[in-house]
Amino acid sequence: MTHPAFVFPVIGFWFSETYHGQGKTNRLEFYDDWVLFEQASQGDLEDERLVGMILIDSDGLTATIRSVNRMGCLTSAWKRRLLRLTGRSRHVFYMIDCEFEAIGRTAFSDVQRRVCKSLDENGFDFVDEEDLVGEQALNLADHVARMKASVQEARSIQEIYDRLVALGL
Amino acid sequence: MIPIWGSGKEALADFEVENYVGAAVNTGLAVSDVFLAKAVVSGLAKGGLKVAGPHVWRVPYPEVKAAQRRKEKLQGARQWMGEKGFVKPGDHGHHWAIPQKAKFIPDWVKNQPPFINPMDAVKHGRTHGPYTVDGVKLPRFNAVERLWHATPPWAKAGYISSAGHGGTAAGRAAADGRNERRVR
Repeated sequence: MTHPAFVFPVIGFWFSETYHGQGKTNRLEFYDDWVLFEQASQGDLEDERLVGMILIDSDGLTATIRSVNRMGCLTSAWKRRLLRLTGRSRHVFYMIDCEFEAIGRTAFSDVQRRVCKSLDENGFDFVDEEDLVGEQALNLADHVARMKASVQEARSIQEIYDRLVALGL
Repeated sequence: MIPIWGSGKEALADFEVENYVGAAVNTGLAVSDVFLAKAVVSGLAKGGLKVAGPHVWRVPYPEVKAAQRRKEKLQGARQWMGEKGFVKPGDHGHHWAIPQKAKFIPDWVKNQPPFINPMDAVKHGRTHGPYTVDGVKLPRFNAVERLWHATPPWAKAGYISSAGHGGTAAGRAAADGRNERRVR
């Protein structure tokens, strides 16, 4: 694996047509180091979360993941069997090799804009549905607007992460 | 009485003696039994119950990432139900029988598919209170509407099936008490 010279933390935007859960576009991921580029669950590989992910580091260096190769299984044989027997083979972890491709630099204001777009598209991920109903219901649009305002005030990717975690990520 | 088979047989017997009301009731019961069986089978096919933890509704992102570093995939109940197809993307998972805020019931009980009814946001909102859509405030559902919309299909079929079977059993006991004979 040839690593781009990332300065962590790195923010990732992923797009997947095979993801089984909620929204499939422009979803957020955060990385503190290389560890999670070197191992992934079978579920994440099936959902093709990594391939095509746009990664932007703390200095604006931007890259994408062109391909992901499985290198070997990290889950022990007995645990793998147990997971398969219980229908949880998506939880088996593999060592992976990612092929990166640098695609220039991104200004921090563009990172903020992308994060805000992601919040618009996937705001539902940040709340429990029970909080959106009833007499004291949280208005999703208001909550997303609060998160976006907070992201606009951030000065680094680390700060974006901290602010989103504080607001329910 | 054996579900589906028993009601179906009773319906045929009622037709034979030209008891059309009884035939209609028993046919309805057989249909409700089919719905109940279908709901149970499709629930099992999607994965049944969430056996492995965590059972919390949603796992915070920092915990998910920390688990990934330990080579573990942490999935809250909501995400698991989305992946298994119990709740469609964009739909809400309504805690039907046990409110999510009922702290005395453990998550591993209340956050299971049989107790979650997938519904769209508007119906879910109107189940809990007034709900505003595009600036229009829609009123809360009345008690009957709430019962209908908030109850999952398997439980609706279960209500009808158990009430109907109970009723026919009581009717049969009364008929036996009067020594009435009926064609079986």
